[in-house]
Order: sequence, then structure tokens, then C-alpha cells
Amino acid sequence: MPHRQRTARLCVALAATGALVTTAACGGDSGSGDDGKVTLKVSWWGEASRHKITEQAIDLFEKQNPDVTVESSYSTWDSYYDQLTTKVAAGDAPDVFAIEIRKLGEFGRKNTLADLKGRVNTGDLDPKLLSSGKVDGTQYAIPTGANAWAVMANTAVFEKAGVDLPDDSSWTWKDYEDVSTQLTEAGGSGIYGTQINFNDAFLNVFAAQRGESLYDNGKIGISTGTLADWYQLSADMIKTKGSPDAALSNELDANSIEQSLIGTNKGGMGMWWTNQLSAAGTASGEKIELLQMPQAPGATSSGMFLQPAMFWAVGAHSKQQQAAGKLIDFLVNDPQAGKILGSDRGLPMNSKVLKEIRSDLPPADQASLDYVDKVRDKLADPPAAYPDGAADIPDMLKRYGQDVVSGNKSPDAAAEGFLKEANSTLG
Amino acid sequence: MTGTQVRPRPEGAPPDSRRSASAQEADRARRRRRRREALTAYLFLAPWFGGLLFITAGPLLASLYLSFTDYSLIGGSDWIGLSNYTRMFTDDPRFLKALQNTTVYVFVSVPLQLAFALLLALLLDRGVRGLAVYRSVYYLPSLLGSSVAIAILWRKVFGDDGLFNHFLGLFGVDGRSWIGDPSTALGTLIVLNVWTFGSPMVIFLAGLRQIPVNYYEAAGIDGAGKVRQFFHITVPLLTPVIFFNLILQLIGAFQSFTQAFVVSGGNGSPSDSTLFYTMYVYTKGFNSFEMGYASAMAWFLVIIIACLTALNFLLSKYWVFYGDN
Repeated sequence: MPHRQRTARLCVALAATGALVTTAACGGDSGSGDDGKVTLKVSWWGEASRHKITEQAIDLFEKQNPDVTVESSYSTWDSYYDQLTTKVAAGDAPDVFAIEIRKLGEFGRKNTLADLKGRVNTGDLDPKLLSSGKVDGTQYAIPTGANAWAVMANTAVFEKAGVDLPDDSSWTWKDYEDVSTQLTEAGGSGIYGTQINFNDAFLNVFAAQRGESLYDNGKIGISTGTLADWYQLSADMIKTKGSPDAALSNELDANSIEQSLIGTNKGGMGMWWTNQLSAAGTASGEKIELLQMPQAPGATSSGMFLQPAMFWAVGAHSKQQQAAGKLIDFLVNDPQAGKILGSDRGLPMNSKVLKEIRSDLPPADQASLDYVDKVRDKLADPPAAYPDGAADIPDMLKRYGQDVVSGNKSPDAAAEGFLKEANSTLG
Repeated sequence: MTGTQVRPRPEGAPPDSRRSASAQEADRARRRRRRREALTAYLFLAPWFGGLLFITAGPLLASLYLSFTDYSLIGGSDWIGLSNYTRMFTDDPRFLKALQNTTVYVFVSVPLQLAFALLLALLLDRGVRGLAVYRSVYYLPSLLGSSVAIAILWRKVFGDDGLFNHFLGLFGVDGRSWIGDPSTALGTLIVLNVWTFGSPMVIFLAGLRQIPVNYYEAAGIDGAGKVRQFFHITVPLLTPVIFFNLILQLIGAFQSFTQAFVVSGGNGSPSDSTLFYTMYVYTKGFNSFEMGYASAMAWFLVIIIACLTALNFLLSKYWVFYGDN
């Protein structure tokens, strides 16, 4: 790696000084050396614990495939896409890299990803989830696992306030609001029912219950009325005191789950991805229960879905397509790799791997898997790869939401404003 | 030797024909020395110039070119002329919001920061015991102010359950989340910038030390009080330092990024009230992949700062007093 980087830097330096450099001199014949050995560059984002287990799994892969050497590079989430897109733009993309659904569509449509059909065995993967790795019909990416969006309830806060946990098999948005208000009233000072959020997954569930979806044909697929109702929900939650005042709600929404209401035992509920369950439990020291999403009265779909946690993809211009496919195949299908990686990149959705490792997973993940099993029959399809420009949508949704709860915009005006701005950003 | 008390001749003045040969000889020697010094200076500057030429200049010019294209980082790019520049003002309310936030931030926080810095410098200049300790303590925030850790701390201090509200609670005042309220979030960032008054303070201190004590003594004998002395001796003689600090802090404040990025969670929350110019540039470039548009905005910021600095230099003729004029 250092050798190649130096070469690249030297090329840039020479080009900058105006020296003539033939493409052959800089030609990236990285990898295949004289001895038939192959070098794979692999990138992902995450924290120290993820780096450690991923390296362990890669070591195992290298032991099984002595002709392949893997060079891993990883970063934190914050700087991951900066680095990845810069490398892709410079024609120096890694052979294998992690990506998530918000950018998958854009990368795929801009021909930066390789077709993985036939390169990775996908027989044991959840077919619905697998389909989320397709862009315009091409399997550009393989999901590593899944998360589900759910309501989390801090059972200790409910108990202390003397309020029963709601029956989540059939509760409505109105029930959600009522039980929140009840909790705030019964909980005493500094205790709140729930904390609001403007996450796009929440909107996706809400809209699917009305037969709409966040994205449709490269544009926003949600009607003004539905979006206004969704914003109204949060405004009402604050008005009925089910949630703290707008300023504190905004503050909480930007905090991590450790500093959330349920994480600090100051509130009964909130919504997160299931992979946050263990963090909430650790922070609060209490039992956190997963509840199904409330429903609109008369809804035909629960709206709940499995979100691919992240994907593995291969660079379109990688010269090591076969080895790259082999590595991904190993990471998602090999039971030993599964044992090492656990649920770090989402709940495992490979039936073969899951059978082997389920009982070894941490309790929070087993609880999440039980939850997924419980709602499996109700699940809607996972979202398709997002349209270009979708990376801006979550923050935009939140910004208009903050305008609503701060009283700067009515829900209707916010819904109209969002749709106009979002649709001009997309595509 | 004759004529040894010759004052250095002002640059560009005609040579004095009546001067003795030895004086001319000394002049030549001085010129030679100056040339050698200049050469040494350029030698020391060379690495910087090299860096500018080979590392900074390329991307700089590239971004100027890109600002006239619709370059998207992972796609191709087409020449679109001035469209990016007109889009800022005709089709992008968020840009105007970012410009407004940044302008308010700069023009409120910089004067306040300089006033604090000067005040503290005056107090420290009165010969407090343990000056070095105080100087370091007050300078510390300047070093820490733009760090991520401090920005995270700021979220805690001005949060609903933060230090500031606990302080207000002592007086029976009911606080709220200052960083979660769109009308006060920018204010917390202004306070953060004012808090980093240490570096202008140190420069003010150095400036104050340059003012000869006998001016004050003479004024005191003539019956001028402390306030009069401050406005008629300290301030005029300190204007070059004030000017220097002003320019430096203005430029720095326009480019503020980290504080707002961390305090707002990277998106200008709440309601874009902390969306800073550079943050918007970053978001457009690396989140939306609109690198061409981001480049245009970056260049517009360069223009703003250049104009402001030029204006400052023009105005400085009327209020900055250099000892020799």
C-alpha cells in the first residue's frame, strides 16, 4: 500500500510540475504481481471494535486463500464518504468497500460499482433484503444485515409512573400520543412520555400505512396531506406535553441514544433502529422493550420494514473482480466469519449463518431478532435504492420539522415547502 | 570619521551629492547587507512558496475552474458559465440564510471579542502578580476554542440540563435549551467565539508594552485623568494593533466551521439557525456532491473576505495612527 500511494503521489507531483508522464508509467497494475498473487483493497467505516473483528475475519479469509492479500483501510463514519468519494473521483477506488442505502443509488447509477451477479452466492440471504442492493435491476451491492425501526420503551420509567406498557399489537398513533401524555403527567417533574424525531424511516412507516412511500420514481412519493399529518403528530406531542418543549426536543433529537430520554431514565419512549437497543440498555441500566410501530386506523399495512444496515460493493474499475466477489461471499456466507462478525453490521439475515450463531449473539440482538420474527408476517418490502440527491433529504425533513415545532411554520406550509425543495433536489 | 551620524536615508530619496566618499562607501555596504538579508529571507520563505505553488495553487485554480461547471465529484462535469453564481442569489434561500447567519456571527462576535481582549489586556498590563499564569489561563481558550471537544462541551453547557441553566437557577430564573431554540442557538456560538479572546489579548498586551511610560507621566503632570489618558494616549497608539487584530479575527470568523458543525450536529440545527457559510459549502460539496456549486460558493467567500479586508485598509487611513505620521 505505501508503495502504491507513493507512486500515486509521485505521479501527481510530476504531473503538477508539467513533466511528461506516460500513462504506462503510472498505470495502476496494483495487485497481480509476478507470482500470481492478488492484492485487494478493502474500506469500511466504524469504531475500534468493528475494525478489530473485521480484521479477524479478513485474516481467516487470507488463511483460506493464500494467494490473496487484503489491505484494509477504515475510518470513522464522519469522514468515510469524504474519503471514499475522493478516492472514487481520483480513480483510486478500493476493490471492496462498505456503502449504505442513501448513497448506493447514486454510486450505482454513476457507474462506479461492479455488477455482483454470479460473483457472490446469495441463496441463503433474505430475498427481500437482497433486493434492496439492486439499482435499476442490477445487483450492485450485497446487504450485510438488517435493522428494523421500532419504538423502544423504558420499562422502569413506565413502572415507576404506574402506567402499563401499551398493547403494541394494535395501537394507533392516537394511543401513542395518549400514553405519552399520561406518562408525563404520572411521571412527575422531569419525566416525559416520549421524545420526538424526524427520521425518514419513521416517515416511511407512517406513509406506507397509507399506501405511500418516501421515494417513488426518483421523486418524493408522499402527498402533502400525509406529510402535514406526520409533522402535526410531533407538534401535537409537544402540545399535549407527551414530549418536552420544542427547544429541548430539538436538543434531544441531535443527541446520541445514550443521552436520550430513555437512555437517561427521564422518559418512557422513543424510536430508533434495533441496533441501538443494547446501547439504550447499557446507558439506562434498565430493561428496554421493543414495541411495534403504532398504526393509522384502518391501515392495510403495518408499514414496518427491514432496512439493510449496510452493503458490501465492488469498485467498477477494480481489476480483481473475482477475488473481490470471493471476499464478499466469505464475509456474508461463511459461518465462521459470521461467528466473528456477529451482528456488528446489522442483524444477520443469512439463514444458514443465523442458525449457527443465533444463540451466541448478545441478548439485545437476540431480542431484536425475536422482534423481527414476531413482526415478519407484517413486514413491507425494504426500500429500493434511493434516487440521486437523497443524501440531503433526512436533514431537510428534520429542518422543516424543527420549523413546525418551533412555531415558525404550520404543518401544511412545512409539508408544501419540503416537497418543493426536496423534489428540486432529487434527480 | 566624518558624517558618522548620518540618518538612514528614506527609501527612494535622491543621493546626497555633497556627502563624503566614506559615507557613500558605508551606504554601499549597507545595501549589500540588505541584499544578503533579502536573499536569506527568500531562502527561508522558499519552502512556503514551494508548498503554495505545488500543493495549494493547483487545487485553488482547479476549484476556480470547477466553480463554472456542474462537477459532481463522482460524475463528469459540464461548463455552465455563471449559473452557479446566479443560483446563489436567485434560487437558494439556504445560501442566503447561511450568509446572514455568518454575517451576524462575524459582526457581533468580533467587536465583542476584541473589546474583551482589550479590557483584559489593560487589566493584566497594570502589573498583576503572576502575570504569566493569567496570560496562559486566558490564552488557553484560544487554543481550545475551535476544537471538537470544546464544541461538545458547549452543547452540555447550554443544553436544557446544562451548567448555564443551573447557574440561572441560583437566581430563580427558569432556563431552557439554548442550543435547541432557533432564536438562541447562534447566540451560544457567538459567546463561544468571544470566549476565545486570548490570542488578540496577548497581542494587545504586547502592544500596550510598546507605549512609552513617559507619555502617561507627562499627561499625569498636565492633569489628565486615567480615562482621558486611555482615550488620548492608549487608544491612538494602539490603533495599529487594533487594526491588525480586527483584520485577523474578521477573516477567522468568516471561516468558522468546527464549532457550528459540532454544536448543530452537522446540519445547522435547529431550523438552519447555526448554518454557517463554510458548513453549507461543505454540505453541498461532500453530502450533495454538488462540488461545482460548492466551489462557486467558496470563491464567493474569498471575494467577500477580500473586499472586506480592502475596505478595512481603505478606512484605516482615517483611524489608524502609525507613530511616524
